[in-house]
Parts: sequence; C-alpha cells; structure tokens
Amino acid sequence: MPEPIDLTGVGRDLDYVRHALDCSGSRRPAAIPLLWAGIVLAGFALLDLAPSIAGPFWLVASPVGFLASAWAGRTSARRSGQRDRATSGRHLLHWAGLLGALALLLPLVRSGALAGAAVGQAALLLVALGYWLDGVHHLAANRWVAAALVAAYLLSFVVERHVWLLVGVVVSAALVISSIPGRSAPASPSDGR
Amino acid sequence: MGDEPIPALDRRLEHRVRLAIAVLLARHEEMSFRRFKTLLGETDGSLGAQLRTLEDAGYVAVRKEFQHRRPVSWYTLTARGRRAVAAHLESLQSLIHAAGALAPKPRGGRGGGKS
Repeated sequence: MPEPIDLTGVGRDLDYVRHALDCSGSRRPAAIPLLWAGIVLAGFALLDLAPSIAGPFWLVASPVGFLASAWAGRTSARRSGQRDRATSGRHLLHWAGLLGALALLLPLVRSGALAGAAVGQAALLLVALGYWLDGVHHLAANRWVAAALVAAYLLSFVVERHVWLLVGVVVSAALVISSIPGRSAPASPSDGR
Repeated sequence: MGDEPIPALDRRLEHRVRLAIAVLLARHEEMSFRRFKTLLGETDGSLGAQLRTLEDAGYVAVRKEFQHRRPVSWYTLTARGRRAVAAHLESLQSLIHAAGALAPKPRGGRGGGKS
C-alpha cells in the first residue's frame, strides 16, 4: 500500500521552492546605468556646449557603451554564480535593435528630412520606447527611465536655453536612480515558467 | 473525470532542496554551488550531498571552472533532469487537484468553494 502523502508538507516545500525562485531573479549590475548616465550627460551637454563634436561623440560612445554594458553584464553573471544565456541574448537583441534604429536615423539626417533639434527629439523618443519596452519585459526600473525620457522630450519643446544640457541632467538622474539596489529587480519575479 | 490515477512522484525530487535545485536550473541555465548556497541557505555538506544525488540520477551535470585560481562548480539541468522535473511537477499538480476534489465542500454558500 502506498504511503499517505502529507499535503501540508508538500505546500511548505512548494513555498520554499517559490521563495528561492523569487530570490533568484537576474539583477542588472549598477555599473550599466551609471555608465550610460555618464555618456548621456556628456553627450547631451556637448549638444549645447560643443555641437561640432557631439555627433562624433555619440557615434563612438553608443557602440562602445553597448559593448561595455555587455561585458559588465557577463562579468556580473559570472561573479553572482548565475548565468542565463537565453536572457542575456534577449537583452543584447533588445539593445542592439535600439542601437540599429538610432543608426537608421542617419539617412534621414543626411537627406535633410530630419534636422536641428528634431534629430535629438527623434532619438529621445526612440530611446524612450526602448527603455519602456525593456521596463515592461525585463527590468521594471527602466519604466521610470522611459518616463524621464518622455518628460525630457516634452521639455525640449518648451525650454529655449541649454535645453540639451537640461535633458542630459534629467535622463542621467533617472539612470542613476534606476541603478540604486532594489530598483534593479526583474519586471516580474514570478515570470518565466 | 477524477478517476485517472495520479502519476507517481519522483523520489529523487521529493526532497525540497533537490526540488528547488532542479526548478532553479529549469528557470536559469547555469548556477554555481555558491549561488545555490545563498539561495537555499544550506550548509556545504548538505547541499553537496543533494547535488550529488541529482548528479548520480543523471538530472544535473557539473562543470568545473577556475576563477582567480579558485575552483567554481557550475551546474546545469540535463535533458533527463528537465523531463523528470516536468513529470514531477505534473504529478504534484494532479495530487493537489485530487486533494481539492476530495476536500469537504463548504456549506451554506452558493457553491463557491474557493480556497
């Protein structure tokens, strides 16, 4: 005759497993948003203070920042003892897609269809969408960065002096806040069956 | 309905630490011994024994790596382990459903019976 099963014990065991799962969510290393806070602050400040070097700065800083972020993510996963290649791959595809979309603004700029402040505004909107989607699917804290980017986008229509410097400060501050431990939690800890 | 036999639970996954290890590896691709220790709050000896049981069953595979000259053990779930976890969780679910069906119905309501 089979042994009777203690359902209360089964319930306790499942709670234990669920707790371990909830604690195991992948966390983003703080170095990534802090790195981008620095890039964003410098890049946007240059748009106001030294516009001639702002373009080359973004052309170099964006891919370098992307590669540095990928390296930081990989190192952090190795140090924490938890590797999720599938998740890392999704993150890479997401941000590479955003980088690609930003690069595809160049033909619009070259053709003259997009010029002046509209270049920065269009880039801000694309980046805001990128952060929003990441906030929905991966990291909840990035929704706030997206909100700050949209606020900065709207601000760019009403502020007349040093608008890009102001945009840089707003977005940088949002990135720094999103890097605070506890805000880097996954979008849904119980997701991913 | 309700007469279907409940599939047997996997003895090797009945221990909560082994079940947690297997479920964690089903969710995350690869985990180190130290990470399991942090998440599960087990001692080295106890955790090592549970991991060895799963390894002997062919449910997990271990890979050694050196980080700063110190050995680090990384664990992954094998295909066999993945199937075993899926079957075990399915059995648990059937068991819980069956227990719910056998539980006495609350009286006086309009047939709600929510837990």
